Amino acid sequence: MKSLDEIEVGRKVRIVKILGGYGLVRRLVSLGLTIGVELFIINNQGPIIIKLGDSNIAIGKGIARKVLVEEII
Amino acid sequence: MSCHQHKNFDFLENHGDYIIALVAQPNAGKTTLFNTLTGARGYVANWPGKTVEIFSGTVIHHGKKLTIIDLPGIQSLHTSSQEETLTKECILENKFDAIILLINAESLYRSLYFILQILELTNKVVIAINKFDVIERRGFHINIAALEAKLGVPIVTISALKKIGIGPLMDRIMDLLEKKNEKAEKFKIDYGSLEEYIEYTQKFTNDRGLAIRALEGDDYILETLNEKGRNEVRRIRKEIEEKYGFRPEELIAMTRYKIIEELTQNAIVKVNVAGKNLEEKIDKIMLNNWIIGLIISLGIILSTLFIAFTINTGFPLNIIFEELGLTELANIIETYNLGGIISMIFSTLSTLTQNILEDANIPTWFIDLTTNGIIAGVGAVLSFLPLIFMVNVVMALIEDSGFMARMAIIFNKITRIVGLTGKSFFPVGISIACNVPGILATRILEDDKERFRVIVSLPLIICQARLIVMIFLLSAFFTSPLAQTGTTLLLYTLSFSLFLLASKIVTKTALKGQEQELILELPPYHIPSLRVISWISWERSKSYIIKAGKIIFPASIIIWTIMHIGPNGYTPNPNTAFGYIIGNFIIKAFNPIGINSWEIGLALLTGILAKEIVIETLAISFATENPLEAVKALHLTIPQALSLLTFIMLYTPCIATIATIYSETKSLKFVLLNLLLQLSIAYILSYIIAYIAMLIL
Repeated sequence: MKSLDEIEVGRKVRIVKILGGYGLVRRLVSLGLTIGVELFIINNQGPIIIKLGDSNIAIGKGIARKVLVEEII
Repeated sequence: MSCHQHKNFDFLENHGDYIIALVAQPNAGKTTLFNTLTGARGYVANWPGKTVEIFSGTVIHHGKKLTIIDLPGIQSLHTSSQEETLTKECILENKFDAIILLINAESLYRSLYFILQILELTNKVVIAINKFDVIERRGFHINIAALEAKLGVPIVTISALKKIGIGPLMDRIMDLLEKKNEKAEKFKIDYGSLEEYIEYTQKFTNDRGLAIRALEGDDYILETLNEKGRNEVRRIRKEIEEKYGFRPEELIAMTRYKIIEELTQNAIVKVNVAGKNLEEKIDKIMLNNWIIGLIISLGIILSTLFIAFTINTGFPLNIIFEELGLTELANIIETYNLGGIISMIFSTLSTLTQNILEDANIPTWFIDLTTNGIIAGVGAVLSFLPLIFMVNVVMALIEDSGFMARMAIIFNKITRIVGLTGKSFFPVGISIACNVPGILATRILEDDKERFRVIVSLPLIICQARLIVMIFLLSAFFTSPLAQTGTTLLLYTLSFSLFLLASKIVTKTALKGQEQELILELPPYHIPSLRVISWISWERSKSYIIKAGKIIFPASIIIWTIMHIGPNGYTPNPNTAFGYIIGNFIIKAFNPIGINSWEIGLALLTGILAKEIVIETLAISFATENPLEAVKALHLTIPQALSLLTFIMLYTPCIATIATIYSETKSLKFVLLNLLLQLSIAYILSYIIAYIAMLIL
């Protein structure tokens, strides 16, 4: 299990755990990021940019560190 | 049994101050909104006499307890099922204090028919357009202000799922309940040749909306009429059908759809969204290399601001042309820019009024007040407008094209250092032109604490008005272009660093709290739609006129009074007015570094009205038409000049900005915090700079 900021560009991951309070979880859920969701890493220079379904989302490094994922591809 | 027999909703225990009905078509997200509003604390009640279960829940908003009733979803008012009939009857009986009409943005066209049907019956409605974010991502834009104006009821865009817009929705409902914006008129459609029949039917129903429904053949309404009324309506329904070859309900529906056609044509725009491939290509350029991204971002901001500045005041293009030897071109730009045209109009108006009043033997002081106080004051409000409008256009372009979100990511690297997210670059960029729209733009920041931190420090950013004063004073103080440019760059660097520093200070002290981290969705790139741009920029500019106008106008009368009323009454000469006394008092603060002129003291005070007035006040005080002469008459040394310039750039923001800080934070504390922060920073720095300059020079 790695955190989201440690994943290389182009990999596909699944969210396993979110280390954070209710506020953070709610913010992430409102963008569709919740446990079990699969996403691609598009960019990890600066904020992590992920591709989730149709939309691209930028996530600050601090938050990315709190999102634990497992690599699928 | 219908709902009017239970109009007090006694079966609901303890229903609070108001009862609100939640009405929606199926799949609009009604349950989600209901859960969001009531925190899923709703409970099931059996509607008396019906086997229909309805949910109700309570919300406390601004100290009032509201009961929200979740009525069964209903496709339109032409219904048959028991559940749908219940909803329809409740709307027809009009027994609620207000209705939330929830609409799915994805099917707005379809929903508008339903909206019109309901609005013909009641205007105690707030329309909530759900899933707004979803359709915006697909490139659709809805002009909410235009729709509101056409429909005559408040409209709020929400995302029930993401809990966006819920606060504003509740605010609109409270406004409606407290009758803050009461509109007596219900929404009215002109049915043309059917109008005489509607009027006739209204005699039996006592209500236009019900009359239309009766003509449509609504059994429920027909049942409520007396025998004679019922027979009459049936008779004219036949008459209409024979006369026009269509049944009345068909004619009515056709008219409504025509209205909907007009509404959607005027209020909905579809733009083409860039393909995924192109989006990835642009994002690769923007986001893979931070330095390149930063250069592109700065380039976009600076070039758009440059265009906005030039259209507004001719500056800085006029100077560039002049340097190139194209004096004539420079003159044309200097005269025929938006700001120039407006000031020409007002000076003509002022002369005209003066002539008329002088002919009518009106006392001099009154003429002076009207022309130099009131007309000049209105002119001051309006002369800001082109700049604010242009900046809004430019920023709306950046926002609507999808570039803004990328820039937020790029600037995040800088703003993170002081605990702000990259989104805060946006208000800062706007503030370079004008602090007022800059403060309004902080609304894009999600976290209130972060928003207030930015608002409090934002006026340290030098705006165009201050830039004009700066350029003017520099040209009076220095002859060398190198010294002029150097000082300009120095002051801007100072201004941005102080903004960052001040944000850091308030984050650590007055506005402590967790530092926010960036998280945002990247919208697809698309060519900005001209109509969307004009909606956004007009809405934002309009709010400026209303807010700032209320303050700038009376303030200009006060300034006139200070400059023209003295211990002996009216005087045309500021030397004998209260302005002299006040100016002398203020400048005492600068006596230790040898600045003594009361004119400067007064200019600092009037500069709070609008920064450009600093120059004007100096000119009036020295009774000269040429402000350059006035500045030279001050005989300032270079350290004194630099010190004064620093102070003018950084001291209290103008009154429009102060007013906007208050209206956006609703807190006197933040206004005072800002004033204290800027006054002390400006004062301390002006001394430091004076002493450093004295040591060096």
